[in-house]
Amino acid sequence: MRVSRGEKIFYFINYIVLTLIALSCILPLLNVASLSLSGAAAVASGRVSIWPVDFSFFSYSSLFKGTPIIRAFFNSLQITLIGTALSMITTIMAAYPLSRRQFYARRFFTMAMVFTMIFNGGLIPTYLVIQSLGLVNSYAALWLPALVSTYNMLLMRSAFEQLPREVDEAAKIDGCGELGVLFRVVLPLSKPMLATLALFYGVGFWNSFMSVLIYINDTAKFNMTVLVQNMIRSTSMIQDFSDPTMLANITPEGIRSAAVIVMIIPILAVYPLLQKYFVKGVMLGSIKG
Amino acid sequence: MSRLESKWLKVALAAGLSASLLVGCATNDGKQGNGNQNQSTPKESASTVEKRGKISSTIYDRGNVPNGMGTIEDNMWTKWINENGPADVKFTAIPRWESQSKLNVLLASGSAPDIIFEFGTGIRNQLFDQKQLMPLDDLIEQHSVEYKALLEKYPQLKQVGIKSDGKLYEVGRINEVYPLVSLFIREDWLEKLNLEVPTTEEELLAVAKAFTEQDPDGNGVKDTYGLGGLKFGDTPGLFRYMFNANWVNLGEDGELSVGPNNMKESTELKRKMFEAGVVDKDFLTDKDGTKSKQDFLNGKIGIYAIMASDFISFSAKELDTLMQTVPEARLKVIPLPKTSVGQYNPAWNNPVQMTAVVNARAKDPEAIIKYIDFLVKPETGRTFRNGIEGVHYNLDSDGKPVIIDADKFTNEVSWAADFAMLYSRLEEGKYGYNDTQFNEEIPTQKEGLRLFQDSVKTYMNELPVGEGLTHSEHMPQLPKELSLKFSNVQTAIDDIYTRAIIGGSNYTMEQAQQDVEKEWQQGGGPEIEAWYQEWWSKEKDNVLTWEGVYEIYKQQQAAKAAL
Repeated sequence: MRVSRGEKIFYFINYIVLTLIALSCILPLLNVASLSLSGAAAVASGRVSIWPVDFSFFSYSSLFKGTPIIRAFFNSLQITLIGTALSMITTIMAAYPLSRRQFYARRFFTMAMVFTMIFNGGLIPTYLVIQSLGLVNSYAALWLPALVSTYNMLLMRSAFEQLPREVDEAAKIDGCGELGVLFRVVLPLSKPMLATLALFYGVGFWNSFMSVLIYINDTAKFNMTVLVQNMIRSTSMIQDFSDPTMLANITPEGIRSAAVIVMIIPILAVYPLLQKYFVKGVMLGSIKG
Repeated sequence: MSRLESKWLKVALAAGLSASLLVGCATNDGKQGNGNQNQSTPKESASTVEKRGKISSTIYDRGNVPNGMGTIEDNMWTKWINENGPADVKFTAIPRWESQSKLNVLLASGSAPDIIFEFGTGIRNQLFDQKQLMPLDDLIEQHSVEYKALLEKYPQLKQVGIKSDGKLYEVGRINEVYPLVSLFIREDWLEKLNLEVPTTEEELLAVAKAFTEQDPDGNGVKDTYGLGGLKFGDTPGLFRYMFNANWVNLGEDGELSVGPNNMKESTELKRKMFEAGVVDKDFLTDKDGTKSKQDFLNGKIGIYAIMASDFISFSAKELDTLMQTVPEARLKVIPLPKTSVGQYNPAWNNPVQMTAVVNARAKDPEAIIKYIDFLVKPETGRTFRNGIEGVHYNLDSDGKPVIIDADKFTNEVSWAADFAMLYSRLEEGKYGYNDTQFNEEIPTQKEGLRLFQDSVKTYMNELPVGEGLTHSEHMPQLPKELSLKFSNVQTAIDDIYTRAIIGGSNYTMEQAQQDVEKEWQQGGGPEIEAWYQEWWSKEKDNVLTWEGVYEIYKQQQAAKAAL
């Protein structure tokens, strides 16, 4: 197919705009990465832009030695893996029946769940519920309240609804029960959606901050986000300046940058693996009929 | 089906549960109000057999406990406290930068520790307003030895710790008074261009102009600025202090003046600076002053004000960077130039710092007071600062603590400072004073000490402090609604003045001043002023003003001279 002049201009502008947008995401990341690999003096005097100056692993070695980042990393991993698995199982279990026409009162149940998207208890009441269930200081306080994200469940429900009913019927004639239909037919056909939702949940759990801060008292159980936030926010707080040694406690920028890099690498590593499903998956949920 | 039914059942159950909890919460609150009064009366007599109390305490978590040293709530220092202290203490970590929300949930759910350490005056005031705190007057009177002695030595500790109902709710520590902010000029530039130290605002402008235009760094490029940024970062404080441009000022007649005091004058100078091109034209985009600071540290800015505080961290970080990147740079601390409204000093350190309050629901107040006494003892605080004698530090022949092994110190002691929030270091005597904390074998620290001494010499005098009535930690808390109004009108007026700095002929100073007055009138100014005036008429004698701070400074220096 020949490309017309107008289209050429269009593509040209398109590429420029997209490149700029891509750069606006990549450059800050490069900057943080370079800061984490530069010498301390170069960082303080602002000589680092997108390439390390006085290359050194000093920031990383002080990060691993001087802070509990390794423990926090494994905590984050634990929160994310178990949380995602639990959420996926329950989301599937909720979405599948709600997507089947023969299910009685599915509209009512759907509305009941959507209700929770609009209304929720405030911070303190929710905390009291968690506390009375004995979940404070346990990761269950992170996993259980957010077990099913209604939005994700709706996405999955519409994905299931799109599968032709005939496929179900064929499977049933061949001898599948309800669980057989789900596990042998519906789920394999919905892989893109599963991958997408797993990523949504995974990123959500990896980034969980407020819930960890509020429900977890034991600092040995803190995850990366809370730890890194603590380091980043340590830079300015005037009342502490009344105290000499407090200033010395400020985490230098290079080490903070190293912590940020350690925190985002796992998610960065997962994206490419799931990306082929990702685009397809979001589309699947959005178009119905 | 049945699975879903039971799920629904759970939802219903959970809803019911949370409703009943809400009710429970309300009744709890009611009870707590009563409990408050009961508990303030001391339990039984102290003469009964000494029993080891069990209490709980907060500790800030800054995420800086080294790998392998345990956690901030369970480590060698918490064990040390439990072995050497008067009570068994259980610690709850409070993330330093989210302390407010964490304390809120802990208090609301009734699981807050007995003693709460918090630097934030606003947060402590909020706890008092919510009736979460226990008054301490009688308890200290009956059970305390150390803190009572400190209260007698420094009555200001009591003055500041008293809340609006006239009772003592807060305990704290005494810090050394020294200047918080210092104004630096590049002495080497002055000499090179044959200039004198500027002593008035006009001279400041002239020197800044020379620094900008006459290539003081001699690289043949016009790439220097006279002055740091005008709005963000370290230097804007300079203009505030120079002109005493504050919202709540104390007049010579002892009356408060509330509003945009002297801000017109300070903005006028900023405008002149901007128009003369002696500051970075892009100062508005340098949102946290990083760019300006980097320019200074790269030797591109000649006049710069910075919160160097005790100069220890400043020596290790900023000064160290400057001495590496610009070896020829020589800093000089200069007095704030005289202005049309007078001459002032920059802000000083807060000597009377409140750091802890006691939970109204605490079960064993006596044990808490004993624990406070334990923390107030100099030898306790010294341990959190220097470590254990013979293990982390030795005393030299002069009695000065010397760290034995820097790496071991960093790994085991450096992060324990938050346990020492009740440590009044000056009680140590000579080696409690800041000028003994420098290690003169390190060149940057030696230079840091010189600048610190200059700063003290320059700014610790009878001139008034240009930070209004008093240190921000001693300012009262406006009621919520007024406080919101106040911060809105402050932002609005600040924006107007910023426009005036860069406005040129399109936006004159007169116009700006008119807009400011209108904004102040409409944005609740009179209401805010009335509140402050009423507060001042009632609390006048309980406020530690800058004059009071200066008295403490003199007392501290006299004690030092007597050593």
